[in-house]
Amino acid sequence: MFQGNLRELPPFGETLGMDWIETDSSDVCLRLGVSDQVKLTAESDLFHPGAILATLDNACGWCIRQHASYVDGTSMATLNLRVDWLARASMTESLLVTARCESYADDVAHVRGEAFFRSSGKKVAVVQATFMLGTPNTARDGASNGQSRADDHE
Amino acid sequence: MGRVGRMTMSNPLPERIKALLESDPYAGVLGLSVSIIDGAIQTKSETSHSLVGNVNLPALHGGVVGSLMMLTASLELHHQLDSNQSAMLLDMDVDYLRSGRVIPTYGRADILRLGRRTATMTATLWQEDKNRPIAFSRMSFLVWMQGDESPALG
Repeated sequence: MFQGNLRELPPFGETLGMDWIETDSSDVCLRLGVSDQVKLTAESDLFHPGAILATLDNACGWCIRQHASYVDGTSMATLNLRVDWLARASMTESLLVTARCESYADDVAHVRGEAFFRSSGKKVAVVQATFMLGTPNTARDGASNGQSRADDHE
Repeated sequence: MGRVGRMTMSNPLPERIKALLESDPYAGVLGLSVSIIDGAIQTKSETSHSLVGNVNLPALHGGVVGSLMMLTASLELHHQLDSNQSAMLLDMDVDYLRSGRVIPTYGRADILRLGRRTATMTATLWQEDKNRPIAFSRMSFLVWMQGDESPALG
């Protein structure tokens, strides 16, 4: 079911040590590996909820590209993201995150996903997110010299 | 806001907050620093390329934005809790209002209600202008007394 994949990660995904897992469905799957920088505290053996949130957000954005209606090159931005943490996430193994695009319309896409452990199937978090489609994807004039930029969601 | 017509008071960081920050490696990944301004926690992230989610804009990763608000709220909550109380995040709802540029980013959080077992909080993140927030969130925390068995979810 799971195979290696070379899909590109954003810099923060690389910072946290995420990597893509290929699945045989239209879901996307990301792995968050065990490392010191994603620990809740230096002494704990729990994943940080912030690192879990970041992995969920990353998977949510990418799964939209898997939707049958997705047009290559369409940019997107997260509008809203809701996460429920269901259980403490022990660092006994890597955490997997899957996400699927539930609906894809002209302006918005809706996504659901979850974070879980592969060996037990135990869910540690669920996510529901809304993305705006067709948002600007290049730096606007003035953005690089400190001037305000128009809202990306407008 | 807060710079014209009124003075802001900066206070030394309480030992508890300093210890929480130092024991959180993920806060270090986000380049987080904390000050107490007018009696409340204010966080600052210097930000860097390693926190980027969209390299074209460039813009901060949605997980960075969410995590900064999560940490701001957690620190503010622990700042207000009794020393024998602790808290953990249950859920979070994030509205992304504007793209986060790779410039210093600030956060504040408010407690809407602090009960015996839960706390409801909001947090806001801004960059150059506090009146133009880049994100807003609402969070629920579980609160418990240290010494009692810590809550086991799931």
